[in-house]
Amino acid sequence: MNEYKILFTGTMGAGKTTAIGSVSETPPIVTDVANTDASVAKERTTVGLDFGQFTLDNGDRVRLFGTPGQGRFDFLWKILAKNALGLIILTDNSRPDPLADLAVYLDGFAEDLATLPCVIGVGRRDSHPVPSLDDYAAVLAQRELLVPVIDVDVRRRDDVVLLIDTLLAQLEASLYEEETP
Amino acid sequence: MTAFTLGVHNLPAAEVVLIKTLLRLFSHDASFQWRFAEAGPFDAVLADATCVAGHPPASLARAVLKITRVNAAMDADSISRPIRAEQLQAWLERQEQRVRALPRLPVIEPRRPAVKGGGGIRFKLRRWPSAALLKNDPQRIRLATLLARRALGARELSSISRLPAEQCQDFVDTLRQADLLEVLEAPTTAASPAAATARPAPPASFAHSLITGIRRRLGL
Repeated sequence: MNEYKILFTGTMGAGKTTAIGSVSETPPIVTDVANTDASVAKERTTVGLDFGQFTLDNGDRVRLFGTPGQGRFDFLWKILAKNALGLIILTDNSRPDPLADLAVYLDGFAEDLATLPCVIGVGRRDSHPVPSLDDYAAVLAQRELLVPVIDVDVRRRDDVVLLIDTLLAQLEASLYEEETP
Repeated sequence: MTAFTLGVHNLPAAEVVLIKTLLRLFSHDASFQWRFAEAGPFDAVLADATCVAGHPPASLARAVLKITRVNAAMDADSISRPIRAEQLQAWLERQEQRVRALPRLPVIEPRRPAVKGGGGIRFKLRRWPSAALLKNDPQRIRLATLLARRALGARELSSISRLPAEQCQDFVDTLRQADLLEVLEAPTTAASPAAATARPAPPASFAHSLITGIRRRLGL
């Protein structure tokens, strides 16, 4: 049995736990504690890892890891990103400066982004349409990064599946390149 | 003056960063003659010992230093993890005379994909398309994602995405009209009637089955 890994990262409250739960075959294992950050309206937050998984027909497993949202845990990010199939960055548009939040993760995973498939899921755009998806794309272009940016509601399974499918498309493109003589 | 180039082969990103940092530090000594190079040909290569087994070292560079697991270095051309600055520097300096005595390896051009898509033109996305263009449509997002990752012709795009060729061509046309595509001429020598109708080589079966398996599990 082989095991693979997909990584979910993003700010506290961006919905990593919810996203994992929407595709995991088992209830996600969470390591939440009471939130002491008064700037975030959330009773509990993840300080360790979220973990979920699903099993493929051949018995292989895809593990879904959610990183702790707080930047002070960034030392874990690189460890988790190692050998991952891809990285999903979730942003919360209701936060004061979502583009600055995104920059934290682009910086934190900068080395991995050169090769690691990545997609950005922007949440809570219904209530907070600004910054727009195009604003996100502009930030990425300034960094000379070409990463898919998608509007998501992580409570909807289809949206989370689309994020994962976007990672798979990147893998397919890369594999095609490798296989072409 | 820098005379020798050092590359890496199948090393973890963290070790690559370490090696680059060490070379920058070593370069403060004017007598140090090595610089890190992202692309070959290399005068010397640092390679994971487990990966070198299948590659004759001479095919990588004129000198190859194998990086082994802890306490597993077995000869003068291998060092154990963790990589130590003094060992790396000493090995590089030992190679200078040896490298000078050997002929330089020829420049190997990066592999260019053969033309399979017809028309001899490939497209690569310049930047992520606007939300108005993508319309949050999963198929458009998938096509844009593929073009973001590599240059493809419309036929190749259709083959990988398993979407109709017409739909892929229409999407490419839309992206071109929005000036979002870089147009790349594929080498015409590779184009042939047979190639024009051939499907791209399937991905490695292992990876292909993994991707298929995940998609099936997710109901895609």
